[in-house]
Amino acid sequence: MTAPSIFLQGMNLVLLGDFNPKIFQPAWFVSQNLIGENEAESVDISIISADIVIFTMDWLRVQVSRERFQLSTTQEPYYEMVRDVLIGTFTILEHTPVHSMGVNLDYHYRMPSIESWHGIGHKLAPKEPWAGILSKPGLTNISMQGKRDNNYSGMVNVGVAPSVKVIPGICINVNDHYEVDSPKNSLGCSEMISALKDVWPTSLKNASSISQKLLEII
Amino acid sequence: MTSITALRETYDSDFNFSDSCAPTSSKLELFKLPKEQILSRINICYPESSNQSEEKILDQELVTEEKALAESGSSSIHFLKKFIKKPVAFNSHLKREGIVLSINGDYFTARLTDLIKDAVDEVADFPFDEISDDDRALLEVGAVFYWNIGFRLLPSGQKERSSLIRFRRLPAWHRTEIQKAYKEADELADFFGW
Repeated sequence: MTAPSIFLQGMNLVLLGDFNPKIFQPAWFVSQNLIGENEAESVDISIISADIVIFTMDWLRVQVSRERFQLSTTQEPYYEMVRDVLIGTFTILEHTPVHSMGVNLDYHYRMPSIESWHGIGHKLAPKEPWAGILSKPGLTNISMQGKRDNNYSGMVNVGVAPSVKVIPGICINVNDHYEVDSPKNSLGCSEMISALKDVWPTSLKNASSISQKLLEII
Repeated sequence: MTSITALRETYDSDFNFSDSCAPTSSKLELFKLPKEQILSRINICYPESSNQSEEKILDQELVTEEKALAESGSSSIHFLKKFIKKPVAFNSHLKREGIVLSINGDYFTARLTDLIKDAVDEVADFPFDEISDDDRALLEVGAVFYWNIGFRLLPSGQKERSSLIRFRRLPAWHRTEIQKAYKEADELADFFGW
């Protein structure tokens, strides 16, 4: 049987804290040399306001609200670039209060057949317990949470759902979530930025490993 | 404002893993929109390079035309072509981080570290042509860059081998970071008794 093949993958880095969205305009990133001048000319700005900023470039989507800072890409070669934009941004804005961080990876796999597609659902959520409760039950989304093997506070969340990008396909989402040790005593964002620098390679490898192992249950 | 009856194709979105909820076929939906809106939609519906997709869609439209005419009771229907926006995916087979060792006439030499697997570092030369105009200003000895080689999946479904070099953009070291580094160096020196 043909193995599932990767169709699309993406990453988003999320910081939770207290942000001033108006700062994060394309011109600011250019002025800080975090993105190139020519790249900034092709920016597609969705909205810039006091409460939210959303703009997109070829390889980067920036979305900032008062509580959330998010950088996303669906271009795997740019993962490191996206990480650098985030690290660069909050090295400059070092006093921005940040209490949590998420390193999120999405993998969309094309399944070789409808049967193998259903097979994942049956393995992750057997239908027997649902007999007599629901007629023709089907899995739409499943989430699991586990501990992480390092010294940082937080957890790993894994979600599996049908892919909306490829049919038949599945989407595996791995959320590597980090929290500051003592939110009340935490000043600025250095704790989370240091954590990102430290865990980056491990976090990516773990996410990839989790998605591969889930596929092996077929 | 002139409105036009148009036909568009929509997909059921509530499929899931259940046998009963396998992806179902698309359904046709007749609706009215301002003429300008439809015309603008038609203009953007096909990228120039996606001939293959266009043929496929046109076939679908021919099959469904008769049905649509019957359902609408109209003799004049403008078929709104489906806007296919397939993601352009890039999956790397080779992923390396480089550091510029020297800059020569029209090329630079760099040491490369594999980011996917443990491997011995390599040294390679890169022509300036490989660098984007934006990144050219970042080229200097000691600069860090990322080199990816992989396949780009085009909207047409074709695969294109692609090489991408991007230079790291990080702000200069902050004074406190330099002080922290000095402090750590002093602590290490004390520890080893240097």
